[in-house]
Amino acid sequence: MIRAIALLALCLMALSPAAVRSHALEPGFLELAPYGPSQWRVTWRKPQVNGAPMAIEAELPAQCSPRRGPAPVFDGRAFLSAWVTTCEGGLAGGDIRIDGLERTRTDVLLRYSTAPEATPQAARLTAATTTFTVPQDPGALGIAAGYFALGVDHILNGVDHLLFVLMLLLLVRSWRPLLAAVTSFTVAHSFSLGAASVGWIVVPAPPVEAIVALSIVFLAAELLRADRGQLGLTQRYPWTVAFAFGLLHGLGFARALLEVGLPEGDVPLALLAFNIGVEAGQILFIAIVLILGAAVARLYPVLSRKLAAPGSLGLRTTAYGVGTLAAFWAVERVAGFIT
Amino acid sequence: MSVNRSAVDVCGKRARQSGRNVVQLALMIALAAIPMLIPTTAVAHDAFGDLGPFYASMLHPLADPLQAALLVGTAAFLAGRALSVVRRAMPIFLLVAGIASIAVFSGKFNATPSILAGFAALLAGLAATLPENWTPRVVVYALVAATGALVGLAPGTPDGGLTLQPLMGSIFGISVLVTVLWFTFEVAARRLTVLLPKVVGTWVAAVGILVIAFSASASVIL
Repeated sequence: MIRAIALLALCLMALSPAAVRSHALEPGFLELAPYGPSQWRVTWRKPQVNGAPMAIEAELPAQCSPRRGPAPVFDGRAFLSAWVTTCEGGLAGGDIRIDGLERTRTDVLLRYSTAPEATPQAARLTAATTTFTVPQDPGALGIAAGYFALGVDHILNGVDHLLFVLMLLLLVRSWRPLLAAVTSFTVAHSFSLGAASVGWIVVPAPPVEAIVALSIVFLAAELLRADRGQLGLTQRYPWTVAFAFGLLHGLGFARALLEVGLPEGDVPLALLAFNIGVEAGQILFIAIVLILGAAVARLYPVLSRKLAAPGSLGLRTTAYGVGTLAAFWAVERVAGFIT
Repeated sequence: MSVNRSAVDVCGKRARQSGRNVVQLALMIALAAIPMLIPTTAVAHDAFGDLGPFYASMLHPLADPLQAALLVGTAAFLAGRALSVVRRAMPIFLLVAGIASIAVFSGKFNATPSILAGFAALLAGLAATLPENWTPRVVVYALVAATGALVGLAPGTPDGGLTLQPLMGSIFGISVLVTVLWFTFEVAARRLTVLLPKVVGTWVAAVGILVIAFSASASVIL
């Protein structure tokens, strides 16, 4: 049955050749980033065709000046131009058009923010849709999409959070306890993220950041203890440890959310979308680590056993490396708020 | 006499063990010290500071269809080969891709011409459709070395010259993507159908043909 479904899916993909054509070329890229009062920094990247810029041109909304940029410069891959434009009354409601796009088979990715505090939005312009009208109000879907992307971005940029999850993966090897640990980590940080974001918990950020670093040191020490054949706290009570530290990590996530701000009237939606984004990023990271581990085990089983077995050089090196780095962060962060 | 020999053996074993311990300790200290030498670790809060350049380079294949096609084609090709061959081919691919990345990020080479990368994608895609016994080891190694070089060169020379974050991101991204793709295709070929890597190969070959056609056609406005 599964084979039949897979074959059917492959056949369906084969029946949509447009999917191939639309992605065969490098797309153009237009970005409008808030720069100052009523000002935006524009970056316009045109694909190259036979050594010359593609015959397309970005035209900004009528209220912007200048609407077009200077002559582009070749950066080795595409033609790039950048300029600052002033848009009286903002971008909202204005039309962004790509002249000449209708005569091409390429796409242009548009990324813009209507205000410095607004979440960046994205759109795709194609030969069929060469004009994009910047919406007055991003709408519920736009808000959700923006905060979801922010959540994914935050977890993937938060190396300390990812290292914590990695240590958890290395410590808890059976899938049931691992699932329990990851789930309780998720529940805990969702709870504290929500509580801190709406102001129920107010904790200064620097001590939280320091304790987040210490939580990684703790797990690194637990990994070394496991190497010596001793069962650590995390291996005996994985979900309890993950829950306790998850509460702290959630406070760290909340800081990122509070820096951006929550839209008035759409707080629950933004909070939910941000949290789902964090979860999606976390699941993506776990999936990649597990797949990589399985791939290495399939390719080099002996090496994999030597690197991942309790007491192995690989695990000890990882524990010492991550522990040292996290200890450094802890000292640095504590020093930061003491001084 | 035999007692002396066994004593020498024991001493030798201990010396070798001791040597191994020293090497292991030195290795652990060195690996643990590496992160401390990265100056951006001093940026608290975001741990490594702004990882934008790292992720931008890491995810470059997702924004560059040709590089993605080469990666997918290579992974599909390897998924149809024996494990003993892949064990050697994979490090060759990663090594060549890494060297090519360093070369292109240091400005020694420009980005790959589209038509050449198109041909490589076509070749890798078609090779993925071939039965295992039609591809001798040497051919496999040569093909992955070629695609590795082109994948490494694909991002082109960055504006800021040779910087650690984009370079590491590029090498890391290529390594992770090709390994994950190879494993996914390999598992799918074992569990679902052996046709899967071949079907993927034909798609990559189709992408290669389109790129060659577009690149060769000077009259068409792309």
